[in-house]
Order: sequence, then C-alpha cells, then structure tokens
Amino acid sequence: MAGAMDRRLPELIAEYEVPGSALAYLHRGELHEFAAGTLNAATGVEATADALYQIGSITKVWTATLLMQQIEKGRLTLDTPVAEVLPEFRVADPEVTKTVTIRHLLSHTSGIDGDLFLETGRGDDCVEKYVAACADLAQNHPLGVTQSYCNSGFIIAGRVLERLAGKRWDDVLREGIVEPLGLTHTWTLPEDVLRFRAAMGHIEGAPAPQWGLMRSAGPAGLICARPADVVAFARAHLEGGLLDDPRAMWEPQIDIPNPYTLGRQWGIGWILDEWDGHRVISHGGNTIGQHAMLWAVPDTGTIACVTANGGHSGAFTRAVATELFAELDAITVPAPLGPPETPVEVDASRYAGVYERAGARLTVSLRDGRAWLRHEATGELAALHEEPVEAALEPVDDVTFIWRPDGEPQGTAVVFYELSDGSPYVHLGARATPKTA
Amino acid sequence: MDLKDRLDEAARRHGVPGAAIAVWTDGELREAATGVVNRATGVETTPDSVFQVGSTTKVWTAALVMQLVEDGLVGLDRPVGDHLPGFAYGEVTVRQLLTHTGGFDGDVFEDTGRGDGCLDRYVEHLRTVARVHEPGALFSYCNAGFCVLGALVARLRGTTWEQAMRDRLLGPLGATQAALFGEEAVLFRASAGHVGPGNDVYRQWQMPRSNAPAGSTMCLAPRELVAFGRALAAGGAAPGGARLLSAESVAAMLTPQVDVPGPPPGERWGLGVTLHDWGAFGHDGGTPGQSTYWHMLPEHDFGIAISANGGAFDGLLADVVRPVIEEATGVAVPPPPVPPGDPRSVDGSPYAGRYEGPQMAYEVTPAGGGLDIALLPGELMAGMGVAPRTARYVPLAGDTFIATESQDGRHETVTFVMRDGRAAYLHNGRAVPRV
Repeated sequence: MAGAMDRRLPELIAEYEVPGSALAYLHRGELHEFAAGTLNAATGVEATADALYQIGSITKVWTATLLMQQIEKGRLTLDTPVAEVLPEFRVADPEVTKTVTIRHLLSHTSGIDGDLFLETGRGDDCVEKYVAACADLAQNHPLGVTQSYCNSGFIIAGRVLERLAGKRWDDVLREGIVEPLGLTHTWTLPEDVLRFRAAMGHIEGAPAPQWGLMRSAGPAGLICARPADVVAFARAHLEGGLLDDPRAMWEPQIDIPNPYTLGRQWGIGWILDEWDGHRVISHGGNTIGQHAMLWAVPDTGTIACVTANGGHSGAFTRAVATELFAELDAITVPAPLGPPETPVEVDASRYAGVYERAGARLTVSLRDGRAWLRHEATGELAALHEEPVEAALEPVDDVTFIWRPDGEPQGTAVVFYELSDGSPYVHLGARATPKTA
Repeated sequence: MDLKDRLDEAARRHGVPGAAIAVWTDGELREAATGVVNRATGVETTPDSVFQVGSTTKVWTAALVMQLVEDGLVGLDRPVGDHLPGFAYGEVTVRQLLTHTGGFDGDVFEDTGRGDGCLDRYVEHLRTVARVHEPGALFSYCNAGFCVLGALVARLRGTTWEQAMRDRLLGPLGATQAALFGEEAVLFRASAGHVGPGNDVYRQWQMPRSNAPAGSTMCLAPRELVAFGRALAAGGAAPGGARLLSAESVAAMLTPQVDVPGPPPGERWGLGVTLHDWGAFGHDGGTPGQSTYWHMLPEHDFGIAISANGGAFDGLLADVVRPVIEEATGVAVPPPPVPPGDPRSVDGSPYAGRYEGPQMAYEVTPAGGGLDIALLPGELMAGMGVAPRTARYVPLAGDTFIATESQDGRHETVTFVMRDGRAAYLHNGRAVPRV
C-alpha cells in the first residue's frame, strides 16, 4: 500500500504543478508518511515528511477542541454567550453582541462578517486588539439562522480561550493539545518554525511575496505542522486523548446551504460530509500559497492529511484523497459537482439582482438567455483583489448552478435559497450573502 | 588552497556543523559554504544561506545613528535623555553609547515581547540595571547601550528599528540575503545555532527582539556584510552606488575613540566599530551557537566575513581566516595570545575577590604566583552550555593574566583595572566590578 503513494505523490505534484507536498495517513493503526518536491523554489530545499507546512484553517478544529476542553472542565458551555466571558466584546449589532454564543462561533452560524483580516502587530496582544476592532463588524445574516464561513468568529473564540486561561492562544494550544499529544513538529510562531524544515507558499510557480498571515489570525489559521502531527491530532478525535467525548464535535449543528463545496453540515469546528455511505469529518486550510486538507473516516479509522505549497492545490489534494481512500478503504470520494451532461432549463430570472455582504458584492443578471454572476470585492478588500470576475451560471437544478470563470480548472457550486422568513440568499465559497436589490 | 576545500577541512577538524564565507579580494567576491545550516534538518549550507550575525549588527545601528547626526536630529555629544526621556541613564551621550563607555550594565537581555513597543519597554526596564562606572570613564562592552541607540533611531525616524534598517541601509545596499524577523528568515536557508558537546540545535532559534539593535535578530549571508564593509571602506557609498553615509560620518566612525583595557596590541573602538592596529576595522558577532567574524582592510581593498553555527569558531579563524587575510594582503594578523613559557610570579592579593556582572560572576583567588579564577555562569549562560569552572591564570603583561589551558582553542585573558593599587574591575571586554 505504502508503495502506491511513494510512486503517485511525485506524479501527482507534477500533474497539478505543486512545488512540494507531504502526506501522512493512518490506516489500520499504522502511520505512513510521504513527501515529494521542494519546500521553496528559491532555496531548492527538498520536501521531507517532517517539514512544517502552514495548515491554515485546519487550525479552527484545534481552537474548537481547546474550547471543548474548557467546556468539559465546566468553565462554560457551548451556549454561553461570548459577552459573559468577554464583557468588553462588541459587534455592530447590539443584540448579537449580547447573545452570540460559543456554539455560533464554532459552527459558523453567528452571521458576523467573517472576513476581517487585520494587522494588529506581532505582539502578544494581537488577538485582543483584533477583537476590539470587531466592534464595527456587520451581520451577513441574522444570528443562528444559516451558515456563513467566519474567520473572525474563531479569532473571537481564541480570545475567549486567552481570557479563560490568562495566557496567549499559542500557549493554550501548546498546553492543551501539543504537549499532551507529544507533538514535536507543531508550532505557531516563525521563530519556532525556523528550527525545522518549513514550506514556503508559491503563487503561479514563484515563492509568495510573504511567508505568513498576520499574527492576529492565529486562532483561525496560524498553526504550522507536519502532516503526521495533524493526523495524530485527528486520531485523538477518533480514539481519545484530548476530550472525554470528542464525538460531541461531530454533532451536526447546521446544514450547509450549499452542500457541494466543503461538506453537508457543520459540527463544532469540524465539517461533516458523507462519502460512499461513510461519515467523514474534515477541514481544509489555505494561507498565502499553501493549502492543507485533513480527512478522518470514523468507521474505518482512516485519517489522512496532505499539504501543498502551491500549484492547483485544491484539485491536487482532492486527487490524493480520491486515490488514497479508494485504495485504503474502497471508498469512492464523490467527484466535484459539475454541470449535468444533458443541459437543464431553469428559469433563473427570480435570482437576478444584487447580493451583498461586507467585502463582497455579487450581481446576478440575465443576458443572451443565460444567467451571469459577477463577483466584486468591496470596501478595504477591493484594493487587494483583482478586477471583478463575471461568468455564466450553468444550471444543475432549480436552485443549483456551476460558476466557472475563465481559466479556472474547476467550477464553483452556487446555491440560491431562502431563510425561514423568506429572505433570499445565495451561498457560494462557504459564505451566505443576502439579496439586497 | 581552494577556499571551499579549506573551509570544508577546517569545519571538519573543529566540529563546525556549518559555515559560510565571503571574501572580497582582487576586485572580486569569492564565496564558499560547508556543512549544514541545521543538524536536525540536514539542510545544506550554501553561500547565500543566512546566519545570525549577532553583534556585527552594532555597526549597522551605529550607521543609522550617524545618519541621524547627518540629518541634524541628534548631536554626538548630547545626552540621550534629551530624546528618550524614559531612559534612566539619560545623561549619557550618544558618543558614549557608541563607544561602550556609558557605564551601566550591558548584558541585559530582558525579553519585552515581539511587538513594536519592545524597545521602548526595554528602555524602561533599564531603570532596574546597575551603574558600573561613571559615563566616559571606561570601555565596557554594552549591548544595552546599542538597544538604547536602536530605540533612539526608532523614535526619531518615527518607525521601528527594523523598518529604519530596511529603508536606510539594507534597501539602499541592495542586500537580498537579509532577514530581521523570523517570518523573513524562514524564506531562506537559515542557520540554527548548535551548542554543547553534542552540537545540539539550540532550543530557542532566536533571541528576544528587545536586543535587535545590539544583534539578537539580524540574519545575513556573509556577502551582505562584505558589501556593507565595502561601503564603509569607500567612505559611505554602497558598491551599487547608493550613498549610505557621508564621508565625514564614516571617518568619525573609524577614528579611534577609546582603548579597550587589555594586553598589547590592544583593540580600540571607533563609533560602534572595532579598530585594529594591523589596519583592519570590523566587528565580531555571536548568538547562542552562532559566530561571525567580519573585518575589512581598506588599504588593501580587502574584506572578509565568515559565519559558523557551532563547534570551535576559533579554529576557523586560525585555519581559514588568518591565512586567507595574510595570503591576500601580506598583513600578519596577530594570533590570540598564549601563556608565556616561564611566567613571572606575582602577588595576587590586589586582584583577589568576587566580581559580579549581570550574567556572570567571578571568584578570584591568588594561586601559585598567578590566580585561580572561578567562572560562575548565571541562568542564561548556563542554558547556552557554559559550565561553572575554575581555571588557573598566569601573568601575561601588566595587570593582564592569561589562562594556562585553552578553551575551544583560545587562551582567555582578563585584565584588572586598578584603583589605588587594588583591582576595581575584572575586565574581559566587560568591566565587571568587584563586590
């Protein structure tokens, strides 16, 4: 079995133009590790299985686990309002300020604008300063009624941990997970990462302009680890070692309105999906030119983590999963949703209009008998992004479309839906956006 | 012998895990590298690998200060407290800090955090450190003073020390192999320090940012030190043409300001720069497990920088650096002193006693016509692999004594600074007061 990935990983990185990758998987209790390519095209340092990659938002499951540890200790509950722990906490909506709970944050259901990336310095007060800056954050949707991916919620959750422990999030992570599991290759700060081989992200084949994200994003995405350490973390969720009841984190909290992108439901931290009749818990991460995926299949006990430092990394990690789980567990990983072979006729006119949330405006229009979706960044994000992108919406069914801008190897699923009060939304890229005009 | 062969052989002989060297001679740059940047990862050293260059950073900080002088923002003989009101030794002048004559404890490595306020907090912390001597009275190597100078640069430029370094020195110099933060060093093959008999990777990759202007954080490939040295040797213009400093500023930096107590041929100090009577200027640097030697011989249009990450660095100096300098320039670099074959016997009682500094204490006892000196490392030094030990010292010259046994290839010396016939300080670069 090990032989297949020894051979296939180098082939797959070549096929998907990934500079370097590492893979670790646990199968029938045995750990297997692989690496291929280079960590940094500028230095030419070879990738090894013990090199550290930025695992990005997989960090969110670690932060969620740390909160569950506090919950199991009775320090708070999933339904404790954030404001009870952080009396100074504010967002724009005063009712949300008072009532948003830990559960909302950890299941991406708070509705708080999730895409605030704010440089608050290198110091140990970076998370505190970030949370202070959340006072102006608007709602993407009313509290608790749908799911919209929320980075800021996990940074707020990180601040809750800091307050409970009286320590930096980095230290809470070390004491709560890294040390108990004996993880030697899991770090958060670059000066610690530097004792190891470390991957550099690549964009269009060249090293990215900078290595990492701002430190304030820590609890939402700043762990650097080798895949074997990430597998060991997930193993504790299947077999014990961090929580009395890790399964509480797989309890579905909300259906993802668009089930074709990351998974069908969100648990506490974990994304929940089903492959070929098997429950899968997972999370992915993206930083500056780096990408990582973690999947665990509780009923077979198989866990895999794969990293990539550039190239068509999303398609690459999906290809690795598809080959790996077919061989290990005879599980068919569902192919990404594409347009149906026989085109379907859908009246998309009811979806025409403008959808807006903080940082993004989506405009659906009808031209030449087709529906088109135009995506533009707004506000401060507008300066960082390229031109607005527009592409046709290929119908899959009455509410589901595929949107594939020019040059993208894979389309993105787009789902139009209504909240229970009838307000129209569109869901893509894991985010909910209300119709405003 | 080829530079690379010479470096390979010396590194092997002296237990050096990895090293890189750059030599400017005959109008061209020669580079070589050996070994690994980190024994735990096995990543090979290349000439463009970056090493922690330690206190060589002080010359860069001095250059930033001289730019302030050029811009009329500070006067060399003005009290530093005029600009940094929170500085407890505010009467000390800019020149005194640049020449290590400020007179307060210098080995202060307090970690005041990763954030941009770290230097201001460090300056506040200096309220708690001891005065060693009157300002201007004596050379005593002072890391803390350069941190204060870094805070001065940051304050008067309205930015961080790091940003001033980028904007005003590294950028104009065209230094690409340079990192001031971990998040920059991680872009390169970056050396880790190795310590102890096992040459183990030091547990903390980087020292606190509070000491950055004195040398705790900057990482450079040797070629960047050579380029900066060439700029100084050329009167302030970088090899690429950008002017870093005026010729007057460079001349002031390279003019002897103070003698370092010690045996002849003594070292002297300019403004932030070590000056040697054999025609070289430069600076040495060290962080836990990493060492750098950087010297320029401007009369010979020659410069050399070498960094290594463990083992016996003095062995590289003896087997690579001194021969390369002598072959290229004909200048004989004085080797470190060795004990006399037949040492004279002295009355040790004027030197006897206990001397205490912030990181080390010394017990001096007369013994056998010389002295027994017990070295008592504090917590930080112990963590870097410095063990308590007692060594026999014999008279070398004047009030200077030399260890009979060598340590990593070098016989340590100490010089006593006398007041009224009795030692007031044990001096080994630092003035350590008798208590």
